[in-house]
Amino acid sequence: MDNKILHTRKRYLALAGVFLLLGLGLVFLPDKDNKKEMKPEHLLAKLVDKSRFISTDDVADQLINNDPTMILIDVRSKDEYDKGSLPGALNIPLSEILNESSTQVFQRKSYDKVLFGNSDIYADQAWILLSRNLMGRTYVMKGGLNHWMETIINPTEPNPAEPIENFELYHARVAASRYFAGQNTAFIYSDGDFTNTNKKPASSQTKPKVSTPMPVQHKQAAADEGC
Amino acid sequence: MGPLIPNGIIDAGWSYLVAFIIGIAFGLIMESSGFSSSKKIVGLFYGYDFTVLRVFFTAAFIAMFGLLYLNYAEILDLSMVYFPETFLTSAIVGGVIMGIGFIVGGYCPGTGIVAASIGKIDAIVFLIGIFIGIFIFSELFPLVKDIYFGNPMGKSRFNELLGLSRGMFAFLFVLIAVIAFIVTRTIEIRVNNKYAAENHGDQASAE
Amino acid sequence: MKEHQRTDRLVLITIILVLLVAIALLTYKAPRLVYEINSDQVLTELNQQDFLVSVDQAKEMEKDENVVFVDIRNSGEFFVKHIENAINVPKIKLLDEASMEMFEDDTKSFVLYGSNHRAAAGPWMVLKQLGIENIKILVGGYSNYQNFGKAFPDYYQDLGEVEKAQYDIQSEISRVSAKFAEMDKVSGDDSPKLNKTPVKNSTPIQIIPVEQKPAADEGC
Repeated sequence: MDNKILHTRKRYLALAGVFLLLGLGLVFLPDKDNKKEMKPEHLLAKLVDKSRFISTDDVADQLINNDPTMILIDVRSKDEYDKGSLPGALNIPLSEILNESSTQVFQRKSYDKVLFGNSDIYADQAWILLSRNLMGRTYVMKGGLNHWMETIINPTEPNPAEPIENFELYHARVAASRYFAGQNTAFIYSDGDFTNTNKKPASSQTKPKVSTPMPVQHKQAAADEGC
Repeated sequence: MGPLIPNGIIDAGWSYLVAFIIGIAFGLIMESSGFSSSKKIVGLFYGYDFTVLRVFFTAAFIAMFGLLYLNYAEILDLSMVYFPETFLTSAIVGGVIMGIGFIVGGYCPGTGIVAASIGKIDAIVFLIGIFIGIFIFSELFPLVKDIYFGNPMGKSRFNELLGLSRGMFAFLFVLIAVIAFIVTRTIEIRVNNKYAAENHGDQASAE
Repeated sequence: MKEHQRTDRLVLITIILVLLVAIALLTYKAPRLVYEINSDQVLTELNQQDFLVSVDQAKEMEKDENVVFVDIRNSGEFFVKHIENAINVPKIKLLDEASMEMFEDDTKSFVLYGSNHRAAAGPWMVLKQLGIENIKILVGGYSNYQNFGKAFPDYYQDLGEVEKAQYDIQSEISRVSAKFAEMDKVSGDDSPKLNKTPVKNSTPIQIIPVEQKPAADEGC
C-alpha cells in the first residue's frame, strides 16, 4: 500500500515539477499588452493609397445636405479658429489631438471625422497619429481651408475650351458659394452636383447640433458571459 | 486570432453551441473527479478529502498558462477576454453565504447540477433551493442594491493589486498550489489514518 | 490498477499540454517592425520643427558626404529628374528590410523628399515612430526644390508659409456675398442657386461624453 502511494506520488511530483517549470517560464516572458495599434506596414500602405483624402466639393456637399454623420475638425490654433472656420467645425488644435477629450471625439465609430487646417499638411500629421491608434473613419480635407476658399467660396471660371464636366463642377461650386456666403433667400436650382429640386429649403437652425450621447466604447464587446 | 467570437472568426450564433459543448465537458470532468458525491466535496471543509482544492487549483493554473502563453504567442488577445468587474462588498458577502450553503447543503451550484443529473434527490432539492434563493434575492433587490454595487474596484487584476507582473504572479501561484497539494495530502493521510485507526483497521481509500 | 490508468492519462495530458505550449512558442515570430516611440513623443517632436530642411539648406547639404537624399517618388519620376546623388526608395518600399537596414546606419543622416511636402511627411512620421532618428524632410518636396527662388506659392521657405491662412474668411465671405447681392439686383440672372437656406450661425457639434456606469454583469 505504501509503495503504491509512493509510486503514484513520484508521478505527481514529476507533474508538479513540470507545472513549476511552466510557471517559471512565464516569469521570464515579457508582459505583453497587445495595445491596439495599426501595424507600420499597414499605416504606410494607407498613406500611399491616399484613400484618406476627401475633396472640398464632397465636404461642401455633405454640409449642404446637413449630413449628420460628418464631424469637421479644425486642427489650427484657437486664435485662428475664432477668426473663422467651416460651419459647424470643432476646434481641436494639433497639439491636443491625443488628449483624452479629443479621443472621445475620434472614437465615435458612427461618424466620419474630417480634419483640416489652412493647408493639409498639419491635418495629415494629425491623421497619422490618430490612425496609428486605430481611430477609424478619419479623413483629411485636401488642400485645407485655403483650397476651400479657392474652390467653394471663390471658384474660378473654367476656360471655354475645357470639358463640360468642369463647367458643371464650376456651377455647382458657385451654387455652394451662395449657400455658404450667407444668402438667405431660396432660389430654384439649375444644374450640377447639388441637385435635388425635390428638397424643401432647410429651416434655418439655430439649435446647436448635439450628438446623441453614446457610451464611449473602448473595445469591441467581448462575449458578456459570466461563469 | 483569439478569442474567436469577439474577433468574428466564428459567427456569434455559434456561441450557444460552444457553450453547450463546454458544458458537457464540464459535467464530464466534474463527474469523473467524483464531484457528484457531496461527501467528497464537503471533505474539503472537514479535512479528509482535498480533491476539490486540487482540481480547482489545477484548473486555475492550467487556464493561466494557456492564456498567458497564447497571449505571448499572439494566438490569443488577452485584452479581449472578458472578466467581470470587482465589487468587493458583494464578493465577500456572497462568498460567505455560498460557503455556508456549501457546508450545510453539501453542494455548490455547479456540482449541484452534476449530482442532480445523476439522480441524487438531495441535489435536486438543493437546486430547488437555489431557485428559491434567486427569487428572494430579486424581490429584495432594492434593499440589497447598495451592498450589491458596493466598493466597485473596476476590472481589477490580482497581480496588479499585489504589484507583480503577470508571469511572476503565475509562477507564485503554481508554487503555492504545489505546496498546498503537498500539505493537504499530508493532512489527508493523517486524518484518514487516524479515522482508519479509530475504526479498527478499516483503511479508508486514500483517493 | 485504476489508479495507474488515471495517472497515465494525466501524464499524457500534461505532455500534450507542454507540446502545445512549445509549438505555440516556436511558431511565434516577433513582428519585424515594432513601434519604438509612442504617439505623444512624436507629437512633441513635430512641435519642435527641427526636422525640416529648407531648400537653401538642402543645397548646402548636397556637398556633405554624410547626407543622403532619399527620393521617395516612384522610379519613373526619379529617372526623369532628381536631386544629384539622391537615391531612390519608392514610398512602398521604405519599410522593406534593405531600406530599414540603410536607415539604421548611424553615420549618415537622411533627407526625405517626395513630389510635394505631404508625400514625404507621412512616411517620415512612420519611420520616426519605428525609431529611426537621423531623418529629416525637405520642405516642399521636389517641386519646391525645382522652384527655388520663385515667389509663393510656387516656392516656400518654410512650412509656416503654406499653413498660413491665405484668406481672411470673414472678409472673403462678406465680399462674395456682396458680389452675389450685386448680381441679383439684375433681374433675369441665371447663375446657379440652391433651393436651400443655409444653416445660419451653426454652432459646433457638442459631443457629450457619457460616463460608464458599472454594468451589473452576471457572475457565477
